[in-house]
Parts: sequence; C-alpha cells; structure tokens
Amino acid sequence: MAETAVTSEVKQDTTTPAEHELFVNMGPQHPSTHGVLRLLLRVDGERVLSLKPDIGYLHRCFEKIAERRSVQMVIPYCDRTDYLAAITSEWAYVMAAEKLMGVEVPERAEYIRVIVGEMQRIASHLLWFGTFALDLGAVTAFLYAFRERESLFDIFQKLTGARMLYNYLRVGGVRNDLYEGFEEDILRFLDLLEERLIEYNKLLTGNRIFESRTKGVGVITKEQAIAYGASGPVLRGCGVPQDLRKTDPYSVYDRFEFNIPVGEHGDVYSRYVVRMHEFYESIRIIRQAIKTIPGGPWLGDVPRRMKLVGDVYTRVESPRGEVGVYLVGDGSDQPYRCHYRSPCFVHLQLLEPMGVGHLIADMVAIIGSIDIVMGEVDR
Amino acid sequence: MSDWLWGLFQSWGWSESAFNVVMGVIKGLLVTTFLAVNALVLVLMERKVSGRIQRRPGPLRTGPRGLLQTFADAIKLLSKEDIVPSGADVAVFVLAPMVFFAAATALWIVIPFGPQTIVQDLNIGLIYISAVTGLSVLAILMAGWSSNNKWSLLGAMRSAAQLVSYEIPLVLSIVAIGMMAGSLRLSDIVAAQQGGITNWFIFPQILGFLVFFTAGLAEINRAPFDLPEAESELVAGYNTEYSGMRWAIFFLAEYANLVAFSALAATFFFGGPTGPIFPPIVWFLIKTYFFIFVAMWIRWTLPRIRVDHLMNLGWYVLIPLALINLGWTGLYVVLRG
Amino acid sequence: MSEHEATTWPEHLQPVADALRERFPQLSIELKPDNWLEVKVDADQSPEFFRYIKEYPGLAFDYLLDVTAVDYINEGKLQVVYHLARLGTDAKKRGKLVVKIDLPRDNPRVRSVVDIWPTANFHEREVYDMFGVVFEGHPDLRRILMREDWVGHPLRKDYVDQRPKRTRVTR
Repeated sequence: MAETAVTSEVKQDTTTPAEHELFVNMGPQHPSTHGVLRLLLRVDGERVLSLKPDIGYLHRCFEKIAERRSVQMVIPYCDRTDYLAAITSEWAYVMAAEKLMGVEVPERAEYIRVIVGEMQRIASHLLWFGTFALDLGAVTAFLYAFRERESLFDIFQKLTGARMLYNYLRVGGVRNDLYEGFEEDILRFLDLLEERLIEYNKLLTGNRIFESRTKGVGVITKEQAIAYGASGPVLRGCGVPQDLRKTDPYSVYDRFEFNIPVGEHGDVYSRYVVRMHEFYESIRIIRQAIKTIPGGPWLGDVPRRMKLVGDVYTRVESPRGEVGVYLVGDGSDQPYRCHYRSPCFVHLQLLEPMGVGHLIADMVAIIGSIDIVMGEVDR
Repeated sequence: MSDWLWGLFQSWGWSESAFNVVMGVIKGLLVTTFLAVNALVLVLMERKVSGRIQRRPGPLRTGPRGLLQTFADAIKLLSKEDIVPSGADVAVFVLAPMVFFAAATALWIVIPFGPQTIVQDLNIGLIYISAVTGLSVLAILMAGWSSNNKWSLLGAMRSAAQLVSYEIPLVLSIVAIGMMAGSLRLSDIVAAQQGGITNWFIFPQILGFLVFFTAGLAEINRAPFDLPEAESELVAGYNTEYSGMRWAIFFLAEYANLVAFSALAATFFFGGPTGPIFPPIVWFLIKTYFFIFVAMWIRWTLPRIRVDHLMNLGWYVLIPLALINLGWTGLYVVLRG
Repeated sequence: MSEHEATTWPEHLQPVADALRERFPQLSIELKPDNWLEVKVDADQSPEFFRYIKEYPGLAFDYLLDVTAVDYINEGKLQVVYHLARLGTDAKKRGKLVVKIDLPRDNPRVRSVVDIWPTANFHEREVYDMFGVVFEGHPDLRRILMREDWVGHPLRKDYVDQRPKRTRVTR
C-alpha cells in the first residue's frame, strides 16, 4: 500500500528524469520536519528542483469523532489538533458552539480567555523560537526558550491543571476562575520574559550566520501569500497587516491597545521578526487585560440540554494563523458537522513556491519559519 | 627510555629492525591510549560545557558529579546491536570507521608532546600533516557511499566539497609557519618559539592563526561547519546508518581530530609544550585543552553555516587572507634576516 | 439564527450585495451573524460566479479561507461550502462571504476553483477525500489525508467502516 503510494507519486514527478538528479524523501522521520511531514524532494546536488508535501500520517479523524460526541465532549479533542496552541483551537470551537446555541459569555470569562490565549501565543512562539534555532543548528537557543516555556507551563498548570492540553475553555465561559495569586505569577513571568527576550535577540537576531541563513530565503510575494490563503505571521511577514484580533475582532480584543507587527520582504527573516515582535504585543495585551479584568461569573448560563441549530464559521487568530471552525448543528446536542480550518494545512502549499530553487538546508529553515504542527495539519 | 630499551634489546641479541617494530608498537599503543583517555575526558567535558552554556548542570547521575557518564555511554554503545543496513556495501561500510580512525591517529605521529617526546620526528612534518588531514574525507566518502542512504551520500559530498575548499587555506597558513621556523620539522617549530611568550608565532602570524583556526574547524567538521553531519538537515549525514560501536569509532576519531587540531594550533602558534615551571607535557595539555574549550564554546553558540556560504567563505575570504599572510610572512622573514 | 434576526445591513455590505444582484438577479443573499453574507449558487453557475466575485473590482474577494462540505443525507444533498474574505486594513472594505453549492449525493461534481484561488488545491483534495466530491479541472485530485487505497469517503453520513473488526481486549 505504502509502496504504491510512493511509486505513483514518483511517476508523476519524473517527467524529465535526469542522470544527476536525485529523489529524496524528507520525512516522515526527519529531525526537522516537526513531526510526520513527508516532503518528496527532487534535488540536483542539494538544490531543490521540485517538492511535493505528503501529509496524513497523523490523521486522527477529529472531524469524524466530533460528529459522535456531545458539544462539551469535543473540547478535549480540539486540544489535540494544534497541541502547541490548545487554547486557540478550543476557542474557535467553543465560540462556534456558543453562536449556534445563542449562549452569552460573561465578560470576565472573555477576559480570562484573552489572557490564556495570549499566554498560549507566548508559549507557542517560545517553542517555535527554540525549534527554529535548532533547525538552523543553534542548539543553545532551544534550551533557553524551553526554560521560559516551562515556567509559563507552571502557571498554566496551576490555572488549568494541565501543562499542554488544557481542556479549559467551556461553552459559555471557562472551567474555573483565575486562582489566587495568578496576577503576581503572570506579571512576574512577563517581566522575566522581557529580560530574556533581550537575551534571545542577542543570541540570534544580529548573528551574521543567522542572518545569512534567513534573509532572502523562502521569499513569497504579497500576492502569492494572499492567493495561497496564508495567514498569521506568514502573511504578515509579507507586509499584509492581517490579524483577526484587529481586522475582525472577536471576544474583547477590540478593547486592548496593540499593534500588528508586519514584515517587509516575505522571507524567513521577516517571519522571524514578526514573531519576535508578537511576543511584546502579547505581553502588552496580557498586562492590559490583567489591569482591567472585571469581576463576576466565569461561566455563563448554559442550557442543560444543549441544542445546536444552524451553521456558523468562527475564526480565531492562533499563533500560526487563522484557525476556523465550521460547525453545523441539526438540533441535537452533537455537532452534525465540525470542520476545522487549519492554517498550517494551507501553509504547506506555500512550501513549493518558497522552497524551489533553494538548498535542502534552506528547506529546513523554511519549514521552521512557517511553524508547522502536524497534529493540526492532519487533524 | 628508548636508549635503555635499545641496550636491553642488544643484550638479548635482537636486531635493529626488530627493535624498531617493537618500539613502533609501543608508541602506537601509547598514542591510542592517549587518544582514548582524551576521548573519555572530552565526552564528559563537552556535555558539561554545553550544559553550562545552556544553563543546565549536565550529567549528574552516573557516578560522583556525573564523572562516570562516559563509561556508561561506552558500555551502552558496546552492548548495542551491530547493524549493517541491507543494501549496504558491506566491506566498505565496515572499513570506513577504521580508515577514519586510522587517519585521525596518524596525525599524532608528528605532534610533539614535549622535547624528545614525539613518536616520529619527521623532517617533512608539515607536509605529512597536510597530507594526512585529507585522508579522513576518504573515510567519510566511503561511509556515505556504502551506507546506501541518500542523506549519507549528501553528507559525504558536502564533506568532500568542504575539504577541497578548506584544505588550501589550511595548508597556506601552515606553509607560513614553515617559513617562520625555517624548517618543516615540528620539533624545530617548537624550538623556534622557545624562550618566552614573545617568541610565539601568534604575534607575527595573527592573520595566519585566524585562517588556520577557521579552516581547521571546517576541516574537522566541527560546528558551525558541521555540515557533513548536520543533524537538522541531513539527519546525521554520513553516519546516519552507523550504530553501536562503529558509530562510536567515528565519534572517537572525531574527538581525536579535535584534540589533534587543538594540539596543532598550540604547537604552531603558541609554542607547543614550551613554558615555565610546569613540565612540557602539562603546558602542552593546558594549551591544547584551551583550544578544545574554544571549539566547544563556538559549537554551542553559533548556528550552522550554509553550504554555499561555506564555500564562499573558503574561496573568497580565507584563501585571499592566507595568501596575504603568506606575503607578509615572506617580508617578515626577509626583514628579520 | 436566521436572516430575520439580522435586520440592519451594515453599510459596507450593501454594495457587495448590489454587485452580486446586478450580475445574478435571482441569487438569494442572506445576512448571517458576524456580518457574513451567505449566497447559494447552482453547480453549473459556479465557475462564472467565482470568477466574477474574484475579478469584478467592486467585489474582489481575493482571499479564500476554506472549502469544506456537509453531507445532508436526509435532504439527499451534499453541500460544498466556500468561505471567502477580502483583506484590507480599512474596515469598510472588508467583507465576508459564504458560498454554498448543493450537489446530488450520487456523482457530486463541481468546477474546481484552483485556477482562481491556488489555495483551494489542498482544501478540494480534502473534500474529495472525505466526501467524494469530484472537482473538475483540479490539477492533482488525489486523496490527501487518507491512504491512497482507502475505500469510501469517511465523512459521508452513510459511510461504513470496512476495516475488519478488532477483537476487544479487556483486562
């Protein structure tokens, strides 16, 4: 079965086989494909002539499972789609369910969601920073980033009971209120992170080798990015100020002041810079939210018998881009159809325009720069 | 000691050739032991240094302060299954680590540990060094080709390209040393630097040292020039398919290369085993380990350079610099008289 | 949540609706929550429609978010759903559009939009994989998430798992 798959693809690609060309399977077991992505590369020496992403190795039937579970029971499965940004995946789903049921979310819950959502963004970007540096061969930055991520996870653990897959958001609010002393914990962490970000920048940003590895690599134009449906830092790296938190505000994001960092050249370095700036914007948002968080309940009035009627598409800005959930209800408490729009799934199509003509070493940088999470791609 | 042994052998009535064979074996064993002990220390040192750089303690559990970590590693590697991938060219596959190790060890023949403490004080020591350093790439090519793995092949090809580019600046910087000392013999080079820090070649040869150090790091495939085994790019490059003891031999030889490179840097530019108070061997080790530490420091700090940039650096920067240095050295030697 | 609840049309969506009505007079346009415009299109009309909303300057929906499908088995139809948007910092110029195309459950075929929005490539492959909708003119219509030799289209409501039953191991 697997053999037939390989041969059929190779046949499609070997229209002009040349003697000095080579087919290389990058993945599904490769240190830098961040999971089980398989790229079929046709290379001349180390130069990539064509590439085909092959996905599905981590397909866990999220959408099918969601059709057989009641509304609340789907939330933990959402965690496992984008396991590095569980909160944002939950958020998109929960928002869709709330819209279908007409549930009002209390204000405090919205604020808590914003806070954990931005914490999640920081955690996800920290991991991205580490693995991206690791892909480029800078091992030390990886451990630096993980140290901060761990201390952030400590706060997550105190708040939700879990370190990565939280199952924290609920239809109508969040599961539990902020704990006593959360404010001090998170503010202390943010102060620490700001210091450490300076260190990260010293370690990588100005480094000559790093810049030569990232500048001018994996370039896509603004038009390409839009045509290929890119979102998040990949789109913003091309100079398009598209951030759902600003352009299509959900929850209470319209109450906070923050900027949308935008890159210039659409290369790996621009995407890097955009993400590094997003750290600071997330820090700003959390500080404002902590300052202005209102009291009150953290879980709204949710009907005991949940009924989903109609269809709705909700979009959330995850660390990787636009996460969308298309939810259809037929009047029962189970989703009739739950579709998860994954940003990385879309970004994988950009690998070809980005990568062709570059070296294998650049492919690694490019994959790192779009920050793929295979759990999200394959669902 | 050599004379004493010679007397002993004469009293036994052995011929001179027999004596040379026995001496060769003894010296070979000594060098191998030296390298093995160094590798033991270096594995631990690398882990500890990388740990400190990455703000973690490094290995702690095996033995007091993790001192037995290397032994645990060695036992693990020894007890692993010896895997030869199907489709591999078995003879070449088996031979490659041995060639690599032999190349790494062969370098040590001419390195002076102290006055008179040298395996074979060849009068063409510098030429010998530049010849032997090229040998290891043959082993890498053998490993990459015989593994029947495309990543290994790519790694081997990178290694060959890297060697071709970096052997030239390396040799050019070594030639300058030969000009300074007026001899190709390594003991003469050490002797020329005797008599205090001011006589070290580093001062007139600062440019040569930079070229030598950069090209040397590339030559022994140390990060940031570890392209042939770039883990995040080529899985593990030429040693992807190696496991267990065969891999360990590669590992060992790489450390032997690192020590040799550091020892050469110390010998060529920092007076080798010369120094006050301590015996020569101690000075030799101090200087060598300083450069080992610098190499580790670089490895754990910098990202990996890209293939084409590596080539550009070699051809457009290092070779011109080495040539400039060569001209300067000629001028210096003539003016010095 | 039907169109009756959303009584007031936001200003910036009116020109969009007008432009659509101008070319396709009998089109049913609804306003959904969150300012989504919902349009139902026939399958044979779809190529013209999509090209129009992409290329007509007053519309210019350049950003295809998502293509998916829903299997309404009781109504005997498969519905392909497109989510589109316009990018821009100017809130006035933004707009969101849902396009729904009903297809018969047996032999569902619709024109591919890959030549209009390249991003549709993977989305359409996924819909083909999960629902068996054939996108005509798609450059590379293969399964994407499931194995190449998989039988059936798993997200259809009448899909039966054909794998051999595994005996349940209890402890």
